[in-house]
Amino acid sequence: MTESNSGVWSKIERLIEGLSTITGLLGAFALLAAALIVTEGVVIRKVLGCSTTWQIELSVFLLIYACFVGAAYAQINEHHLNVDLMIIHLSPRVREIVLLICAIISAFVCLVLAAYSWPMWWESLVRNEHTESLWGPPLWIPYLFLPLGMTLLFLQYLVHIARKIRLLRSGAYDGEVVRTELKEIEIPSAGTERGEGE
Amino acid sequence: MDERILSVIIFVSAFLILVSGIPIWSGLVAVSLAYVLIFSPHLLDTLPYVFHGSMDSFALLAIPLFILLSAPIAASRASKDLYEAMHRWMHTLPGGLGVSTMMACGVFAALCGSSPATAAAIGGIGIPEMRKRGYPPSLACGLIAHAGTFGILIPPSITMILYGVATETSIGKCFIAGIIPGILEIVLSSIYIVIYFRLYPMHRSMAHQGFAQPDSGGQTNLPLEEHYTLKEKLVYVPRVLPFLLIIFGIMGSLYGGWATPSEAAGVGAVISLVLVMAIYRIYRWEQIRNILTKALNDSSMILMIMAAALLFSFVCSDLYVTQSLAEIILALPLGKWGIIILINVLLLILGFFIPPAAVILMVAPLLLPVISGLGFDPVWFAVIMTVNLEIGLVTPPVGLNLYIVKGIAPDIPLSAVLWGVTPFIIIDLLVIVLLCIFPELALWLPNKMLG
Repeated sequence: MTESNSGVWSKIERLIEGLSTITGLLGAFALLAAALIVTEGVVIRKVLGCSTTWQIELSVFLLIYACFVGAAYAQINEHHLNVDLMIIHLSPRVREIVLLICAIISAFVCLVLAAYSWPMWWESLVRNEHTESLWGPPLWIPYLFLPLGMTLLFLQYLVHIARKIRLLRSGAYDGEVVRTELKEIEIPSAGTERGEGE
Repeated sequence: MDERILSVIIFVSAFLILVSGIPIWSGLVAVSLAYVLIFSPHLLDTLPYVFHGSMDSFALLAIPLFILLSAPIAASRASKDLYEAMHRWMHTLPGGLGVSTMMACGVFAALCGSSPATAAAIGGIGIPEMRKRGYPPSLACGLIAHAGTFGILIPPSITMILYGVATETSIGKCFIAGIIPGILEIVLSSIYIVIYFRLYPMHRSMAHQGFAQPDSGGQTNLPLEEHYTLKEKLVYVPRVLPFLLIIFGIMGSLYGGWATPSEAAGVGAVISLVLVMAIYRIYRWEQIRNILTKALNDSSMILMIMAAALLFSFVCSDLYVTQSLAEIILALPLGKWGIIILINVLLLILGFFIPPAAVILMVAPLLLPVISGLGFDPVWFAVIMTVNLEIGLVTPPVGLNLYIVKGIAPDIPLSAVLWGVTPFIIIDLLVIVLLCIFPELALWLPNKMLG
């Protein structure tokens, strides 16, 4: 690979990660928005006795967004849970190869899901379908999230695969694997002081 | 092909693919895709609708919202305050520190819903503290590893929501069903700790006398008995009480039928965020962003597994695998209780290898026909299943809580931790037996629910 090529590639990588980050931040605030909308719905229902159709529907749209589009964001730090029972016992090199194969399969899965779900979105758009509720928003909005998310996740996996290959070539893989479930949990070191304010 | 053979092949292949280390969601989708391609390619076009449809549910919204409720609490110092408050109120009991640690874990687990996070948050303070006061290290570590698992039993519990959605059982009822068994586990474990300190008075006196140092003959310049005045006891109440009120508010509103789990979670999430901002002064942009993005990561991770598992069970059911598997199990000449024991063993073994969320999502829809075919209540089974998976969290090879405890106290050998956690595993097994003999332990409260 020539210098200029790798320069282009790293730009593409940054672009993909930037996209996933922006859509992911939106997803993070979608969760907050969902909580606020549900709360508003509860208050409206209890205080005014009105029905809460749009609150329920809109918050479910946000849920779908957070799940499918958030999946690409979660992949940035490899947050998708796996069973690491076997891989933690492999030698680092074999482990990286197994994980590379897993990433390729995952990318393929995303590609298939994206390929089959873009037509689903397109059809609902062309036929101008709406949900069956009183509020009745167009169906292409929630239908967009699955293909969009899977496309982003596919791209994110490409970045991931490229990194894994570079890592395998350079031979600089880590000695130990960080378990997915423990990634964001800070394990406090012994001797942590107990509460203040005594 | 014979459906019975096919069902075995599908499950073995799914298990093998998952063990390869592939993300659980894509592994399940890959298996589903493969079998759809082989056996019913006409289904391919409906797959995106199934996948999308699995998320199109207001009940599922409870998952990200409960995660959102816990994220700010996990990011704050609430665990330390909770621990301190419990300690100040409980320290006069023999083994009081152990019991109060257990209680703090119970409350924090309820709020945060994650087992390893509870073990890390409370264990980080609890283990050094207990060791400083002469608790045998194995007991201290075993206690924390075990108490961390309360999170998946005591409501609100994410795994219970997964079970409820996957089996179309009332999530509210599953939540409420976990209360009494959860309290039972805490009480039995506390009794064990108290008995332990009665049997070994040497430890007891040390544990009771604060910072006793054996080489100075028990004579220390620190006070022999810790004593807290009422004022010192009360000072932590305003910090801890609001979080207790969130738990009681959620349980109460579900029990009273005022709100669905998703509504309770939404209101709870807003309140918890406001509380953490007010009490712990967390309002900088990075802090809020970290809390929200962590919640998104966890939510998307679980929801993707959920969507994939629903796709998987859709494919299984289309290939008539679910039904034939139920037939196989029901035809076993074991009798009603023999099958229950078999299922328990199966769950225990799966729990040893696979994280609770994945076990529930893969296995619950399959076992449900068996359970209802035998005349058991699905709500009762939710509790049985959860207690089984609690055991998986504290047993090798994947027991996450063991990892956490080892991280907090690296100098203690794994064998000692395992030794310390064994009595608690026996307690969990005892709870399963009690639940089988007295199903009312799980079912009495939910059956009295309103709405």
